Amino acid sequence: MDFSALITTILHGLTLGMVLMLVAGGLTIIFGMMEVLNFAHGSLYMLGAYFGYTVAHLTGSFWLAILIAPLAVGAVGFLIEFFSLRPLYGRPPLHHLLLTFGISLIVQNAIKFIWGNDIYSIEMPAFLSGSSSLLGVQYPTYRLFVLLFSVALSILIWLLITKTKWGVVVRAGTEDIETLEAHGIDTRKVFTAVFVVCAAFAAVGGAVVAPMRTVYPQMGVDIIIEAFIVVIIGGLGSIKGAVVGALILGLATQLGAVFLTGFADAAIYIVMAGILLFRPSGLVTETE
Amino acid sequence: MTVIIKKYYLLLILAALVLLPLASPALFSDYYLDLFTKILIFGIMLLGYDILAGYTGLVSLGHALFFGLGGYCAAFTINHFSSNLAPVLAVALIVSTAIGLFVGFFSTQTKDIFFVFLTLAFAQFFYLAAFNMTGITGGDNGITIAKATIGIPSLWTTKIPRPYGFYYLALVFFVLSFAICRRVINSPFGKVLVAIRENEERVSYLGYSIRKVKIKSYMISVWLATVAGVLFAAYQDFVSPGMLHWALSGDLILMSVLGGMGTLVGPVLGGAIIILLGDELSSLTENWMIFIGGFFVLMIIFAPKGVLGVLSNIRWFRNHDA
Amino acid sequence: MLKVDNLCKSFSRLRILNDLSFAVREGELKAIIGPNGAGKTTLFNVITGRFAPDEGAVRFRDKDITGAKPHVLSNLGLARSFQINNFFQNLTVFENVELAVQSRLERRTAVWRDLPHTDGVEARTLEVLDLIGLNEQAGALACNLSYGDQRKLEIGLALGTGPSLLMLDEPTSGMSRFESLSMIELIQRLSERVTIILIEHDIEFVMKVSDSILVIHYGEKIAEGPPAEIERNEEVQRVYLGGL
Repeated sequence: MDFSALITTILHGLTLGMVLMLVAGGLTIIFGMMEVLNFAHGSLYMLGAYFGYTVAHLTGSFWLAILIAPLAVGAVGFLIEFFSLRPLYGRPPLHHLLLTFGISLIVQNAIKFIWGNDIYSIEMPAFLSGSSSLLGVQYPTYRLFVLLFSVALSILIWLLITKTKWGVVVRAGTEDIETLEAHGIDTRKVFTAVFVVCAAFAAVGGAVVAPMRTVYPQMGVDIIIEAFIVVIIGGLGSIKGAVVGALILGLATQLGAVFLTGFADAAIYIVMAGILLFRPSGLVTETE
Repeated sequence: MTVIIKKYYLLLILAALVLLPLASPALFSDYYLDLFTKILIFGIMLLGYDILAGYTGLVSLGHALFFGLGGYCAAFTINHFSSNLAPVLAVALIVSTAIGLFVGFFSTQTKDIFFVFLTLAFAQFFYLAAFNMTGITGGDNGITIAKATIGIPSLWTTKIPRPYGFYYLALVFFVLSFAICRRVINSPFGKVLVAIRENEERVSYLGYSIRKVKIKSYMISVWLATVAGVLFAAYQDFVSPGMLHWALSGDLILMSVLGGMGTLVGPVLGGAIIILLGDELSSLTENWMIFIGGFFVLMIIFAPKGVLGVLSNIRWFRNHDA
Repeated sequence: MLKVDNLCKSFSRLRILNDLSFAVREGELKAIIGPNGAGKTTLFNVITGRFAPDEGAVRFRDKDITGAKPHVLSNLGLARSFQINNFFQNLTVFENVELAVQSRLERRTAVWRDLPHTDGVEARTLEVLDLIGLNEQAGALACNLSYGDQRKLEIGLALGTGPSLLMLDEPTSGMSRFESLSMIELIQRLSERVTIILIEHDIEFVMKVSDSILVIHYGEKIAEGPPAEIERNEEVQRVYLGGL
């Protein structure tokens, strides 16, 4: 394999990793705060793609699509949190996993019911089509856009978490929820807000990826398994771990596609099994 | 805590399962016989799964691995070696024991959600192997299997008759599995399983080797899933990678939770509900899982102990002398 | 019977146990006292295999048990109770103790037999329940017991394994004055049958029942000896008993 092919593969891996980050980041924050393993997070990502498709189809505007999709999915996220998760706080994490597994079944079949089994795509803006030259290789401009866009969003999340008052609450919440309550903060409102925001970020991911990865009813399940693997190899509830995990997984998938021809999909499972065998609680674990 | 079902009810259900198919074809058509055969075969797997997930508290998202493994072992043995069910089962059990020990040994190093996903990783590995190694497994097209037989070679053998033969064969295996699982649950081993689910750390301070107990529990569920896989493949004359896919493992969890985990009867009941309901609903809409999903969500919120948990709150079903 | 040599244990950079050595003789009741955060529970955790020590050795009946797993230690006859209740909340009192008693059977995890009533498990379980005074609550769920009774059950689980060395981590913690009276009485009765290491806050009680006292402070031994000697020890008075 020559150098430029390697660069392309690595760029592919980084792009994939950053998109995963948008889903896995939310997953890990939600778990860190509420001890909820949200299996429906992939469904929110998928809904983002479908809403994005519909908006783009009706208005012809890509930008409107990636603006409205997260708003709409945020609303769906609110409904899910308010009506199904709220009654379950305090129950064992397995209950939430099962509950959201049920919700993902509902969403997936509702999508099939509304949009059918067809595969859709969102048309990318003209100036982002074609390819650009980077590090001596021709790379699709849109993928580059997705990479930069996701990085920008991730930095935005990071700034939100580290620099704002709101973020302090979230970070404190992922570490010790009792302290928050002791400070008189209404954790229920915080939970709802966090869930809605994380849902919106997942939806942006779904919408922005749609032009390059297409929109289909299985996409939610596909991404949630990957996102869970990210969160698990990174270390549950750790935001740092999610970044590391997402990049490892993105690169593993792409390198697997090159080196394990015909068996590429197995790469992520090999990586996960390997990491869990040596570090049963993931890479980044909090020290007690 | 535990839901106890009177022996009396169990015998009644057994009698019904034995006699109903004979009663009247109008009441119990071939169509329903087919569904009930599937319910019984799934039931075998669900019983084993309940020992692992319901009693030991180890929720695996990779159990389809052994169902599929049983299926593929059956396919290879029947097509290349012997169509007799006895050697087919023997081969499948030997293979699944080897792989089960391997996967079980590593997976039981982890707990909770990590166990869920480590078992998933191992299972997906086999799924992708079956899917991609088209030369051996036929890939997505699967393998068509010759008709399986029962009997003693060179004395008397027969192709398993359908639909009745398979129904009663599945019933015999199911009843055997149920008896075995009940015995296991009431053994000293069974008590330790529940203790591990409740408080693993303290169990080790009482002198039990947790790892060994977990692996034993895992193997019981592996064997029953393998038997179910062999029967299912033989019944369908066909195996495909779908039998190994994690969605099937997800269905197992769905059925178990819906019926009521840690009760043996519950998961089987859950399986029956989903298979029957799915059949009814699928005639209405292709996306019938939306209703199952909704039902499931409501159950988790309002009745996390499952249908059996709800039933046991109704006086008529309760064990009066308990 | 138990010999601890130069034990060290750190978490992150914090040294919890520092070069700690002591010995417990067969039949004695050894109390370990020290201010909060002195490393008492960590000492228990290191001895009973929850954590491996960084340095040092633990010997039990002349056998090296440094870093041995909890289930191995239990089978050697070393049992412990916990400061925070650590039993099976959703099982009955009887089932709780029964699990401990069952663990002494040769075929304690036999798959293919009913729970053996003939092996004396039931009788032995009732005996333990009698000893800790919970026979009337045998059928109650552990989580429904009063707090005082829960503390007794915590000890009952350790007792059920028929230990030769019993390590009790603050058995009276969180108890009312009245409840702890019956606990003290229980420990005195137990000390006649089995060697005990006891972590305890109640100095009066410790002085009364123990044969020997070990005082630790910031993970180091500052004194060891019979109660009368400890009472006179100036350093102990300075760091710990000062307020008395």
